[in-house]
Amino acid sequence: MQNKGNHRAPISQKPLVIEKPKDPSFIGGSVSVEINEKKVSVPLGTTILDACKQNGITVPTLCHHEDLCVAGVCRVCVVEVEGMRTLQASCAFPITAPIKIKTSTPMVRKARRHIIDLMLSEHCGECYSCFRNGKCELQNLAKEYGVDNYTFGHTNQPKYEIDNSSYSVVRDQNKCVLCKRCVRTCIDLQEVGVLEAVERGHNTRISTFLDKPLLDVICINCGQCINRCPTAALRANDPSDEIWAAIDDPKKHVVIQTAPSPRAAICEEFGLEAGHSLTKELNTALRRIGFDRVFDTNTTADLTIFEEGTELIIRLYKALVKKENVALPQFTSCSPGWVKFLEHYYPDYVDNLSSAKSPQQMFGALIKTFYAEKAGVNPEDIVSVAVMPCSAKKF
Amino acid sequence: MENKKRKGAVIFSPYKKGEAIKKVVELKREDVLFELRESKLKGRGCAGFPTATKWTLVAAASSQEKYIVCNADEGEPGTFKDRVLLLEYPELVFDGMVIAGYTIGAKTGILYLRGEYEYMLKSLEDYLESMRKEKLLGKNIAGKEGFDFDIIIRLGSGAYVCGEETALIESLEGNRGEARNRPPYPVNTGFMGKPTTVNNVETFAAVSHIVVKGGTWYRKHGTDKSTGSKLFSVSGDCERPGVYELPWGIKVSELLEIVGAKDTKAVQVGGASGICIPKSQFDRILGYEDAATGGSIMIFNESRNMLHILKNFMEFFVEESCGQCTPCRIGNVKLLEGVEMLENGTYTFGYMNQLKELGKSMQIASKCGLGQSSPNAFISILENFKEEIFNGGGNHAK
Ligand SMILES: Cc1cc2nc3c(=O)[nH]c(=O)nc-3n(C[C@H](O)[C@H](O)[C@H](O)COP(=O)(O)O)c2cc1C
Ligand code: SF4
Ligand code: SF4
Ligand code: SF4
Ligand code: FES
Repeated sequence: MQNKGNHRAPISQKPLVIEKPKDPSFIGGSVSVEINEKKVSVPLGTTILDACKQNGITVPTLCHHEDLCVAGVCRVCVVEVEGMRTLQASCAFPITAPIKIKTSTPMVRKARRHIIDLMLSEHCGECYSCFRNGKCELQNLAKEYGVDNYTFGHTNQPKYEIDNSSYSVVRDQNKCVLCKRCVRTCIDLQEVGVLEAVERGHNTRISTFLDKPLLDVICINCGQCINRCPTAALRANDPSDEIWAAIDDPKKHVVIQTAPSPRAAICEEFGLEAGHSLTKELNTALRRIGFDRVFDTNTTADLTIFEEGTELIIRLYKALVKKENVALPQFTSCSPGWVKFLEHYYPDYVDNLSSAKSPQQMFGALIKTFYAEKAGVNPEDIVSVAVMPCSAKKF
Repeated sequence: MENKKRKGAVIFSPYKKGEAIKKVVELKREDVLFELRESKLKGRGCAGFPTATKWTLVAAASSQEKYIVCNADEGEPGTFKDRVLLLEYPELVFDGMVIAGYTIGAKTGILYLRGEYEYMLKSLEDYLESMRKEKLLGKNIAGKEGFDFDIIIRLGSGAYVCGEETALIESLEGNRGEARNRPPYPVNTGFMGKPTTVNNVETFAAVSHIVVKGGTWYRKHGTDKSTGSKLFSVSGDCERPGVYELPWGIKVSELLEIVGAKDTKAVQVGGASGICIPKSQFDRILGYEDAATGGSIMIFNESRNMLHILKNFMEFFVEESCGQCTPCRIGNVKLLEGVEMLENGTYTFGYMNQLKELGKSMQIASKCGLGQSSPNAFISILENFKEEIFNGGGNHAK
């Protein structure tokens, strides 16, 4: 299994330690396996799932995520391995010996359907009223496996309160399937570790330290957990209603700034190839929506560079010429997520942060001062909106 | 102290503290493994994995650091034989662990003691201290140059799943008691990622006898597939409940005779995760080839309501599931709801069949032995007591 450098995850989730030759072409470096009666050869330690992928065979997954360490908890990816009494989770099974795998026997399909049905039985609410409708991995699985009649019941009664305390992340446990992708993301990729499973059995849920609202724990608002949640249990805080209200209010002057990366990212929503920038189209669309002005954050990105650059020169001057004690190296302060991370985990380094505002913040300030004056608008009537690439920008 | 009142052919046969240790240090490691193979001893924890194979795998692992873990979590409803061993025969258990250390090349043994057994902690610690004084633990054990081994005791905190070997190891490491993905198995990546053998208390006790008396002697007891004897924890409706040492291969009816059970309707073999045997099948034998058990035998007479018994088991699993994998976490709740439907007469046959099928999926798709065995009782009781259950097994005449 690949090592994803995850030194804080419990051993159960770490890539499994398997002694193997570095080069798969060495003797014992690869194993031959039979997948659905097709003979193939894979490097020792490859998971069944990866072996299947490499050979064009699809195995459904839910808790598995390419970026994350193994979990093996949803059990949707089970397959038959000849000679084994039980089905095996293909995402968590490293191949170390020649085995025969069957990925779609009646037994396997039935087990998968049962598992999906069980998850749906506890998955509160209906898809048509869900913001993930059409983009939900659980929904896709249910559709693919024809699980469409709630064999084991269904609930519309929320069990948990929605936590929308955070500026960035909204948690709705009622949609959670306990895949623990968020847990692994937070501790493993982000090294923050805000989320963990608590209680056990049927009462298991994902929680924060002492069950506190997300606002009150050391969450850095990075939103990486949202990116990896397969369902609607995690989502970004959505301020559309407030923005519409401002646009609809004739007294308000509503302006918006767009950062470069969402201008490109939005192309994927329209089926274009990733990386295609839609700056002009987006500008037009925003104007038609009713924004009074559209600005480009690039302007203040340049300002930030001037500021931070000047600050660095001053610090270097103080350190090298004046031999004063200043904090070096100088860290950027452009990401509120990073700043919060540093404040919580490495407070000793806070002095190393640049004192410059981020481009978004600079623009916000400029709009209310320089622009307000130029345009002759009362700063109090200006509503300033920003399209940004990261949920931490809301903080 | 040596005046023990329990009698038995193997485990409860006479044994002197340190006897096996003094013998084992004269043997080569391969010879110990050979005797174990000869004995055909299978693990007494319930899975019945051949002990010689497990130990050979750990012995062959290249790591310098290895661990022996004695599983004294004894959480299966209706078992209490490990308690008897630890209280009355600690020499068998600890000597067995030392032998394992010698054979496998481990320096540390850990006794994972069920939280509820905390009251034994002091006496066990004292016992270990006495072994250290007698050079049966510590450095150069029994005069063997370079053979160092010691045992520490860790307490569990009352989770049934922590009896499952990988969850036990997680718990030892200070994490949530959740089963790990397997393979790789603890024999390669166990405690702290090092090769580890996890064995039941009774397995270690058997090893001590095998080292002294030989594998062939051991194999003479029991049947071909289930050698040796077994400690049974007998409870329920009988005159003489308690711990019995009996040879494998004994019929259920013979056991009932011995313990003085009358009017018996059903016997639950293997605890909540085991199977329920109805009267018509009392000629079945206890052993790995038929009805295997980690030791738990629960006897129910005609006055008992099978549905209540089943409900009790299902409530146990709903409570004890670690909650990480879907089939077990949610499936057990659905099975329990099914039992409740049966109780108050709101079931349909169709749905009950769906639940039985769900149970079969749980048996093969769950991550660990808990979820894999939790539907056993549901399936076997529904199958074997159809009449009673569907004709108003609850208080509901239907
Ligand atoms: C849910 C569950 C609970 C278990 N509880 C125990 C236990 O209390 N004691 C025990 O010795 N083995 C228990 N086992 C079996 C262990 O996982 C393991 O197989 C055993 O300790 C190995 O020892 P053996 O080879 O000597 O049998 C349990 C297994 C499962 C799945
Ligand atoms: S937003 Fe980031 S820090 Fe907060 S819970 Fe999610 S992954 Fe963890
Ligand atoms: S919140 Fe989302 S990512 Fe986290 S466990 Fe639940 S479903 Fe999985
Ligand atoms: S089968 Fe049950 S106890 Fe075992 S890992 Fe799954 S949820 Fe946990
Ligand atoms: S994807 Fe393999 S167990 Fe969830």
